[in-house]
Amino acid sequence: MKKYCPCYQALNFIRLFMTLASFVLNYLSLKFLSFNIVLMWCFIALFWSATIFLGFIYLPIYFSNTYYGISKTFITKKSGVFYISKQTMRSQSMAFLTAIVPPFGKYTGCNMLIVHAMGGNIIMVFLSYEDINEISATLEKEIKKPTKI
Amino acid sequence: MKNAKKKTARESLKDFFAHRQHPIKIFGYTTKYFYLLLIPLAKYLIAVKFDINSWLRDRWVDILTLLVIFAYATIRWACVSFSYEKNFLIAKTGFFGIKRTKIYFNKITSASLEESLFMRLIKSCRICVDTPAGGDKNSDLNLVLSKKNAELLFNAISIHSKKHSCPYPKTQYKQRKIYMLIFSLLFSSTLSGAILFASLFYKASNYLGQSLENKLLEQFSTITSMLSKYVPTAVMTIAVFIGGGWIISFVTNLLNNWNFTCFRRGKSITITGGILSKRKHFINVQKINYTDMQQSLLMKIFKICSVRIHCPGFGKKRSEIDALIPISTMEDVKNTMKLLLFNSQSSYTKLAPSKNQTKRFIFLPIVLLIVLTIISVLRKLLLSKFTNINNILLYLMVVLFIPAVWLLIVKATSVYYTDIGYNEGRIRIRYNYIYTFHTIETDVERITKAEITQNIFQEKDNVCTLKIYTRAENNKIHFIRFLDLKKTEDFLKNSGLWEL
Repeated sequence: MKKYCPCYQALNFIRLFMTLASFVLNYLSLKFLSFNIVLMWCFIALFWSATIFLGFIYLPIYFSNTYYGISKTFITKKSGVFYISKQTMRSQSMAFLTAIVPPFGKYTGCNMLIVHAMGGNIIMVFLSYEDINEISATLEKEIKKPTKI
Repeated sequence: MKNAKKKTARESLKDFFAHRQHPIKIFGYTTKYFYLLLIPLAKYLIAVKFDINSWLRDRWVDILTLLVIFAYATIRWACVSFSYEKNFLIAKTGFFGIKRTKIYFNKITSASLEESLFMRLIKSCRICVDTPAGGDKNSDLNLVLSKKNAELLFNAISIHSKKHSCPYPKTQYKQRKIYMLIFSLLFSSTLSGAILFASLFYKASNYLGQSLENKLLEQFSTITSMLSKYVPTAVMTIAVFIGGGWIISFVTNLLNNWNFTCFRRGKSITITGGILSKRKHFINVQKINYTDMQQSLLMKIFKICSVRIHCPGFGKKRSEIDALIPISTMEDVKNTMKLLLFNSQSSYTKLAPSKNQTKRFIFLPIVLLIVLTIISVLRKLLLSKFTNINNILLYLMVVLFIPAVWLLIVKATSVYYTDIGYNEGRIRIRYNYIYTFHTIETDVERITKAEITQNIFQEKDNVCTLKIYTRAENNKIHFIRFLDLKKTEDFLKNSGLWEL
């Protein structure tokens, strides 16, 4: 079984994006909410605490706990922060794949692969561009095989 | 050189459109605000007697907004594309085509082509593709293509199954028109008609405003107030709702399934039908989970039945029926099923509830009748002074008594038509659900779970309920009630279902 981990490039991109967004929202709050100082500082505190919590606490733990295991017979996903969940799917039951590669996904690492099977699906997030292509190629070999049912 | 360049540009353009949805889909990507802006703009243009300068000067903000919405919709349309090879198809969907879905033809369970009247005028077609995965509400892939592209893609999908050699001859079954009429009479429902009317009315009133709703309510009040001399208004409203909903459902069923024809070629079945909205379905026979022969009590007496098939994607839409044979005589159905599905099982090792369990079958209908009787007696004793309420309740009691008595007769009959049978890897389940008798036939391999349940009343007599779960996109459970517990366990061991 080959293990794939989320791409840390995506974490850095999210941190950068959230920091920039917080600066913009900070500026807008200062400009439009200055009539109510308390409300303005509440919003500013909210934006920055969300950025710090997600960017430096929640997502790093999520990234370190998550891995995707691909083998000929099973696909495994382990992820979670406060509680860890492990999903296993038989390769035989795969029906089709959906890859989501946003603009600049090659550089940001914020790519997603959804494996659809009867009864459920497995969503793999924050995959690098190379990993998403490699996993798709591996899984397609199993999907192509004819099944009796 | 210049001509060669021109040709390349023309070819590129042709190629671009060949892999895109029909341009009508651009309007599908606009929001309802597009029409909320367009209609008043058009009205204003007519009001200023087509003076374009004045129109542009006074309404430039709305026109600009409209152009931005249209440009966004066009960009979204341009980013959504599809292509296919010998064995698979790829579709780029979602916002700006960032979702790339690859589906292999051998995984496709069903595909359908739909051409409404409007689509036929603009030469477009909707194609829906389904696999065993995905949800049970929406198709896995849904595109609006030009008729030519849609037919090419549909043929590429269906030819993949047809090319496999099949020792059986090509077969065709065509539904007789008189039977189609009977089918629509028997299987139309007030609920589906009411839902259809409500959704059309909601969409129309969104664009045309409150005036339509007010006019309709006004007309309805006028009619009901005229008739309220003879029948209470509440009863009239319920009757109009039930009758109106049923008529809409009847007409829709008839128009959607007229000229119903079924072809078997290789490992695929193609079903066509419909007048206003023409439909064509491809079904991979190997992916059919089970067949379901449905009959009401009257249909049993007249020896006619309807055959449905459960295949992921087939019959998903509200306006579609999942029928292989909408309605026919029993003998005709047996012969046609042998030709279409090559199933020729006639004898099964059966397990059925014993006849002294009849009291359990008729218990609930009897309780219902007792409750209705009590309400009738109480109505007469307590509400005789309140004429209006008394009359409404009287009508309601009459209306409810008839189906309750019919339910009692159906449940008493179902004792003779409840069993489970096994023969060489095939399972046949017969049971009754409310007013319908079902006969399910499937392979043992397509059964995902078997469950035996017993409540405290069943424990006393050592009977149980057997629940069989068949493969489906959602939970599909079949109940065989009041079987002997020991015999059920033996049956499951012999049929290979015990491990489930």
